[in-house]
Amino acid sequence: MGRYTVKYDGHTLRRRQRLVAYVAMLAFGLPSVLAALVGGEAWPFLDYRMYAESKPTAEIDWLELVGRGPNGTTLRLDNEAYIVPFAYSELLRSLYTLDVLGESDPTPARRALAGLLDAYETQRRLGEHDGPPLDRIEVYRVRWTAQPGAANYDSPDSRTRLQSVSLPATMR
Amino acid sequence: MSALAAAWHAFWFAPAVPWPLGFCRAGFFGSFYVLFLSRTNLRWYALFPPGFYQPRSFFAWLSLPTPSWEVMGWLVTAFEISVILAALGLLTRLATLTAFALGLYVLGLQFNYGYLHWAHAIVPIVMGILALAPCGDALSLDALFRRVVTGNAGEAGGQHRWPIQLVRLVFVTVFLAAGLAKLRQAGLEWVLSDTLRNYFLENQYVFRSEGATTWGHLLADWLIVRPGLCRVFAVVVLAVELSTPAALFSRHAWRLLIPLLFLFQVGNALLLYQDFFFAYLGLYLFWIPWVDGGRGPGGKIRI
Repeated sequence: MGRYTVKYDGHTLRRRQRLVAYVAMLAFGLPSVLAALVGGEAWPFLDYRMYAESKPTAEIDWLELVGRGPNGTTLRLDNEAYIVPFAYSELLRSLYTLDVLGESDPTPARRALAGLLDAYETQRRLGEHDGPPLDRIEVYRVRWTAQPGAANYDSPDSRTRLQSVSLPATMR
Repeated sequence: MSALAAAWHAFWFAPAVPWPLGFCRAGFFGSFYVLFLSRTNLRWYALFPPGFYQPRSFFAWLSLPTPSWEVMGWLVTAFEISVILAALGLLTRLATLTAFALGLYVLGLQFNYGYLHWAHAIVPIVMGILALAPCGDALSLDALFRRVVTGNAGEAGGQHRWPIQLVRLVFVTVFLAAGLAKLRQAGLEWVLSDTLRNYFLENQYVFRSEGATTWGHLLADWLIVRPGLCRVFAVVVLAVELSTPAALFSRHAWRLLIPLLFLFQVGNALLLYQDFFFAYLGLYLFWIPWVDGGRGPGGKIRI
């Protein structure tokens, strides 16, 4: 074994085993530590910034996704069966990242909403869910002054339509 | 050997018997499969509407395409099989390597759709560490076959200690990162204002359906009308997150911090309606002090 081993308390560790250990430390330990200390994200090394922002007031600024049917039916799309594979809150957060607020260019958000409506109708026609037919999808910006238990959830302070996307004629 | 080098070697390479690492491997992969993978259909990630795709990280660097339903089905099936094999310790090296490579992709796919299950990120990292470690040397079918064929039962050595220490290091960086992110983004305002209370409130709106179906909202309601208590909680949360590296070196810190982190995560699930941490619940096994000779991190090592 000689020069290829290191003795520690009578136990030996081969050079190759030590090399593999250091490779693992460099590949997984170091990026984890750097992401924690410096910040930044490169999957799967994250800086876990959820809930990190200061939130000094109880003002809630959120979104609502609503589908409209051809005969005036209205459906809040918060049932996960309608928006597979998203959860409702995930979907709304995703829309924020696509600039659904229209602060610079809402085109990507409108394209994504069209895809969502297309997927909803396709899945409905395949019998994957029992939702009503929809020909339009709308996103609203909703604001509340928060109350315990979300007591005023159904009566927000304001509700403003941000985007409305219709089903293409070929899908109707 | 200098004191620093001796401490470094003692931390990473002090000899350890093989079975605690084998137990951690079996427990991590087994719990990941039973508690998460068998209850989550990752194949659905192929159904994201295309307009939502915003490739990031290596998905962008390598211009990886989005998978079809069929391809995703094969990838997820292979991932599931590799996780089961890794838990059993059958073809352990191949199984852990496959689980790492496929986990990186199938778990990371959602990262490209604007929202992330933060808690899942540590899973492929740990799979990668175990893929490089001799984690099949004990409590595995491979070890059983090896023992039958060669009579070799595996020897104690530093190769069975560093993987556990490295998983612990990665584990504490998750919480350290969360604490430092709060300081970077909000500073002490995070504990001096009603920030935590307002997050409790906000999530009752954001996670309306999740909140309505758990009893956590009753506890959240109770806390929300006690802003002073919420601030005390905020101080405790930040202090615990920033202190977690101490659990690597101090037995006293380990005894205090690891149970607190567990409670902290239970609180996250109940009060903020986050997913319960099933995907990496098994990582707490790495903190059971067997590998340290029964004394916990920083304790005297006995083999």
